[in-house]
Amino acid sequence: MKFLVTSSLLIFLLTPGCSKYPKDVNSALKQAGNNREELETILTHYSRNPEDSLKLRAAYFLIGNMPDQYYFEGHSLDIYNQEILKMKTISVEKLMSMWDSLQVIYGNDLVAKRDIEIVDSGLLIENIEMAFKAWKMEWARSLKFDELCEYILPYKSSNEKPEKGWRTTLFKDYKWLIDSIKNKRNPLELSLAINKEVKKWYKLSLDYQYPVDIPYNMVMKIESGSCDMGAKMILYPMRALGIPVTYDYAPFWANRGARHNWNAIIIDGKQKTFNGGDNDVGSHKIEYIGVGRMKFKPAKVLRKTYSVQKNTLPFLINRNEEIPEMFMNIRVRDVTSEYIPVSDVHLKLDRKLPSGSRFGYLCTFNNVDWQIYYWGKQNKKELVFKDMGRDVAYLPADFKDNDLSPIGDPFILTKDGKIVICKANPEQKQSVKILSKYPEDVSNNIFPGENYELLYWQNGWVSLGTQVAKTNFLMYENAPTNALFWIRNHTKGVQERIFTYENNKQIWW
Amino acid sequence: MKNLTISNKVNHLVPVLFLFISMVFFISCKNETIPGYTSAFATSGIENEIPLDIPDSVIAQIIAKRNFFEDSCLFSIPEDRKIRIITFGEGADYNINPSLIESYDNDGVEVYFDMNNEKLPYFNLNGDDRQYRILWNLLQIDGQNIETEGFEVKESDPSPESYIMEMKFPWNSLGYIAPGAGVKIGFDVAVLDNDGKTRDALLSWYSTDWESWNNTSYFGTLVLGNVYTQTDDRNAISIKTGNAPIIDGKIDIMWRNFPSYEFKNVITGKLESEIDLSGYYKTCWDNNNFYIIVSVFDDIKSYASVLFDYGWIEDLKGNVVWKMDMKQTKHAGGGLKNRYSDTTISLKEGHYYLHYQTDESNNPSNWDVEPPPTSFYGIKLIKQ
Repeated sequence: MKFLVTSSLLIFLLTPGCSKYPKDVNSALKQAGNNREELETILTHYSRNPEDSLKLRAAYFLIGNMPDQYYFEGHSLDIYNQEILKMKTISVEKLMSMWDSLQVIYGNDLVAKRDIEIVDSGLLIENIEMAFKAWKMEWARSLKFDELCEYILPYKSSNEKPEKGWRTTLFKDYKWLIDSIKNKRNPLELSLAINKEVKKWYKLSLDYQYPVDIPYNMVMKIESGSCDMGAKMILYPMRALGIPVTYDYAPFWANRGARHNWNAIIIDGKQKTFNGGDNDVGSHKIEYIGVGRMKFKPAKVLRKTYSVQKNTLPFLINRNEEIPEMFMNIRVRDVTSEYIPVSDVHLKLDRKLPSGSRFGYLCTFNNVDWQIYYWGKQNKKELVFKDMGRDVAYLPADFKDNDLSPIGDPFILTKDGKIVICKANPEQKQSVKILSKYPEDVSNNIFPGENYELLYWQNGWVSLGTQVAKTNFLMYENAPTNALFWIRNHTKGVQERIFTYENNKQIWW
Repeated sequence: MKNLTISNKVNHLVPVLFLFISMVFFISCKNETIPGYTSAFATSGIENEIPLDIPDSVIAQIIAKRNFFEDSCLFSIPEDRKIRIITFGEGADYNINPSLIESYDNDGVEVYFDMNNEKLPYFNLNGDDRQYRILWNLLQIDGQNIETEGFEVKESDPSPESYIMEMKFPWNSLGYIAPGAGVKIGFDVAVLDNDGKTRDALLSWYSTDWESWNNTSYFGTLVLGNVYTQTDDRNAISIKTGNAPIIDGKIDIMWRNFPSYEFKNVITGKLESEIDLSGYYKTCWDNNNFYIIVSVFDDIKSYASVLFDYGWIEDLKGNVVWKMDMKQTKHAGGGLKNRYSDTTISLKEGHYYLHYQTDESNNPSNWDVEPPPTSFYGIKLIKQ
């Protein structure tokens, strides 16, 4: 009797959830609905042979992380794709006006469909088999299993509709390049060769963005697109040949508007960056944009992942905590410290956040306004922001009712990791000489006859008055010390940047 | 004299042999391909010129080992003397790496066509609008919607402050129209000025707005004709020629027969004088080609360049007394953007700061091109 009880207890303890699959796979299978059988076919397929144990783990990885994978479908999109496929010559203007017309006719009829409900066994088995074939390539053999899973194995690059057989097709299409490379131990040379081939047909067009994440076959038809489209597209041929490649991005630039994305090949744990369909490794810089131009500074660099990241904000909040929509993505990993010098920012809180949330935000200035950049968590009487990019001006803020409100003075996180608070001191005045409104070319200088306004931050932008420039500089005699300034040109132009004033010079942030 | 016994001979030979073997081994190591990296660009094979054997009489040095590296050190010069500066870094110009330099940051000429003369408020990238940008000295061609089959350009530099570009555009490449008297083409010509730094000024014949690259409504009009009849200053008249120019970058006698059009409009930048930047162009045509000659006066002819990893020296007041200059560098081996400079300067007695910095990539911690053969990366000051 004692033996029976002990054995039963042991069996119970060793069989979590009383299931043969890991917990996340079980959960995924439950959500698959009518597609459960297809997914179980894959698991059964790889359970038969002990030699397939790693492939089984790969299947667990794909299925276990599948529930929130989705793509968009709609009548308007079907027609759009059909018309594109019929076109003999494609122009970006035509594509854009066609989509606009379809929107007028059908409205926004796109609905999100879940991969878990449609991905079939054929698609995933082909994907796993070919990924493992690619893993055997000389340049890929040193990859660990976890690296295979994130950088090669995923069956799609983003939120496009899953396509069957792309690995087999692209492996065949690009295999000839393998013979052309000398160094087969390092994926870099092959990645250069692939990007060179892709550039023969893909042209960067900053104006064009496909309405949703674009399937690879449509990119090949359109042959043109944004840097985002290129960065997602290149994952296909590179992963087909076993090159560990990522899609990384800066959600915004910390010292201007807009965002940017790029790709990185992971070699010995280090990234070599490039733009799919554009600048190669060795010809790509993230911060540098051109001679004499202000560097693009990221405050965060994030990596799209296939797997769900449990340290993302949606997993950390309580039900009643409101967060900005930009942080709802659960498939993103913070890789900032792998790219740029970072510091943890600890901000003292003398009281609770007005929203009642445990999460606060750091904002950066996008040439027009402060915008939320990243989140930090309250830890006792501090808000802690991990791994923030240095040499950036930040403004701490709270978020409630879809709006941000400042909760402190702006500060500079300096190059060497110090915090310099820009608390304006209107009691102590200084003369500020303004030579330009933006730190780039001469078109941003001060021009006689144009109307300017200098502002400084003190719980909001406070005006120091407007001036029509009489010469090539402006003087403001009664500006506060220790302030963060913003010079605006009301006559023309859009490039305007915040600055501090140190040693009689405008220091741009 | 002591006769050397065999054992003594061997004893004398051993260190020589050891030295010989070491040299062979050392040379082999230096020439060995560094595993794990592949050239993004062709190497020049000039490793012999690189100062690999850096002497020990070092006054100061900074060795860079990672991304975003910045360091400084104070050094003293006890008396006025010459100093040799050896620096390894990373840099680019349009010739080395056109992906890292915008073509419009260089000196050069731009020629714009709106072949159907529609003057639409955008640039038809897949249609009849074309923008050719030809860089001074490099003669690299860039632009929008360019067709270069049959296109020819040659340049001459009659003086240190001037250059001439002469071009031939086949009508077949330009497309969309059949040339003939009375045909009108949307047109403009512009000159870019770098002045040794970045884009300093843009001067054009017709447009007064820098958005020409994006908006053909800013173009003037080129009128093809058989004779010169200037009735409207908005037009440039292009006369048919029976004597096609030889494309050699020189103003042949035949060009005297054609009207010239000055670059009147400063689109961006501020010109000190006509010597700073000025010029004119002339055109003609025949049934096969459109010809244009552009004469530019530019007091500082230059092309854009940039250094990503570099060193410099400041005095105690913060004045820069020397800085690594991309134009003075040579290829350091490996990828073309690996650069080195080996210069000698005179420094007065006193104290100075030596600085060095790297950027986000391509240094000993994370090469993204084939690394240079030398293990040293940074800056070194040596007594002369």
